Amino acid sequence: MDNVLITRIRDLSFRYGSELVLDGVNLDLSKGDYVGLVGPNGSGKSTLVKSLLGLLPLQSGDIELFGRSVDQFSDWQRIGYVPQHVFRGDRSFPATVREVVESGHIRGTSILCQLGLRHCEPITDALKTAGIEHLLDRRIGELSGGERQRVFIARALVSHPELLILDEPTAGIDQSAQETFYDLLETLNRQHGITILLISHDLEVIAHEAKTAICLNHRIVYSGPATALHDEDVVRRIFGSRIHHGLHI
Amino acid sequence: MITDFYQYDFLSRALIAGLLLGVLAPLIGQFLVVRRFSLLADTLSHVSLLGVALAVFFQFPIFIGALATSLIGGLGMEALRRSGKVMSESILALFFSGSLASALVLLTVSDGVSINLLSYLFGSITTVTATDLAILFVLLIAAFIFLSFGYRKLFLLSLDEDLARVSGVSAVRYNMLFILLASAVVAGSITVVGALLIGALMIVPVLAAMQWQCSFLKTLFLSIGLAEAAVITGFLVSYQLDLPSGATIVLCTLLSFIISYLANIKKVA
Repeated sequence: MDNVLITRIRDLSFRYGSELVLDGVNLDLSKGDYVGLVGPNGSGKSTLVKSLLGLLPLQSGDIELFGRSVDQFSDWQRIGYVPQHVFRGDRSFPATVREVVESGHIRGTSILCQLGLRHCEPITDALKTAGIEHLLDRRIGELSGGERQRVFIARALVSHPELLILDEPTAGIDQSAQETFYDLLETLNRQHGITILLISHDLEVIAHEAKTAICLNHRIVYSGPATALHDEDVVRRIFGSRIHHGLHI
Repeated sequence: MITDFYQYDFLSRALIAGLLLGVLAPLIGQFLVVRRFSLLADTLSHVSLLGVALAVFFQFPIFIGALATSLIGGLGMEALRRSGKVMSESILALFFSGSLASALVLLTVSDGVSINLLSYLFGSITTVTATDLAILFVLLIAAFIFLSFGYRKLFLLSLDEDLARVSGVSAVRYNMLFILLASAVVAGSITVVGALLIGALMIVPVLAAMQWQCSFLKTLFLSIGLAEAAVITGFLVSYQLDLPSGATIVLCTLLSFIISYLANIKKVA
C-alpha cells in the first residue's frame, strides 16, 4: 500500500441542535485502503460521510481531500459516491442505465454530448467493470436492487475516481447479489487500486470485506484490522450493550 | 377554416403562441414532474395572479407584475425548501393560498377598477398580442440555451441532489436558475392560457409521455410532441365548436394521457 494520504479528518465534531453526533473524530484514508466504517444506527456514520463529502457545513475540526480543505475542494471527479437510496422507491423515473452512467461525466464537451444526442464519453469500460453491459438500454426503475447499485458503481467509475465512498450499498439486496457486489468492490480495490470507504451497520460485512475497520459510536471506538471483528468478545468490548441496537453480527 | 387563419391575424398569433407554449411547457414540466414538484407550476401561476392584481392596482403593465411576483415567489419557495424547515408540499400550499387570497383582497379594494379576472384565470388564447408572442419566443430561446448547457446537471439534480452536489454541480445555482426560468414561463403564459391551465400544459403531456417508458430524453421529446398535438387539436376543435380554447387544449392533453395510460397498462411500472 502506498502511503499517499487521500483524506485527513481532524477533531471533527458535529451537533444537531444540542445533540452531539460526532465528537472529535480523527480519520485518515491512504491510497489503496479498503476501510469499513461501522456503527449502530444513530452513531454518526451518515453525518461523517456527509461532512466528508461537503454536504454538511463544517462546525468544528478540519477535513482535507487530496490535500485541500473540503470547503475549497473542487476536483470532485476524483471521488465516486454511491448513496444508499437514490430513487426512494420511485420506479417510474424515466431514465435508462446509459443515461444514468453517462451522468457521471458532468462536464460535456459539446451541446450534443450534454443532451446525450451523441455519445462522447467512453462508458464501456465502466459498464464492463461493473458487469452491466447487457443492461445498457434498460430503464433504471426496472432493475433489481443489486443491479441498480452496480449501475451507480459504473456511474461513479466513468470519471476514474481514486476514492469510492459507498453508503450502506447493499441495504435491501438479496444475499447472492450482495456477494457479487462485494466481489466487484474487491476487484476495484485490488486490480484498479481504488481506495474504498464502505459504510455499513453490518459488522459481518465489514469483517469479511474490508481490510481495516473503523468503529464509530459518536467517536472512533476502534480502528484496526477488520478481521478482529469476527470475535464477538472484541465487538462487545467495543460497543458494549449497543450491539443489540442496530448492529448486526 | 385555413383561409380564416390568413384573414384574421389574431388566429395565426393564437396558434403560434400555442405552439411555442407546446414546446416550452413540457420542457420545464418534465423536470418539475421527476422532482415531485408538479404543483409548483400551479402555485407560481397563482402567485403571478397577485402580480396581475398589483399591476391593476398600481397601474403598470400586467406582464411586469406577473413576472415580478412569480420570480419573487419562486425564489422564496426555493429558499424555504432549502432551509428544510417547511415541507415541500406545505410550501406550495402556503404560497398558493396566500397569493390567491391577497390577489382577491387587492382586486376588491381597487375601487372603480374593472378587471376581467376570469381572463387571467382561464386565459384568452384568441387575444394574444404581438408582445405576448415576442415574450414567449424570448423565453423559448432562454430555455434552449439554459438546457443546452445545464441539461445533464438538471438530470442529475432530478436523480439525486446529494449525488449531483458530490459530482460538483452547484445545486443552489442550478435550482435557482431553473426556478427563475419556470417563473418567467408561467408569467409569460398567464395571459395566453391562464393561471388555472398553464400547470396542466406543463405537467399532463409529461405524465402521458412517461407512460411509454422511454429514456429521459425520448420522454422529453415525446411530451413536446403530445403537447403540440393537443395544442393543434384543441385549437381546431375550439374554433369549430366555439369552445374556450385554453380549456379545450387542456382536455386534449388529458385525452392523450388516458390513451397513453391505457395503451401501456400491461407494462410493469
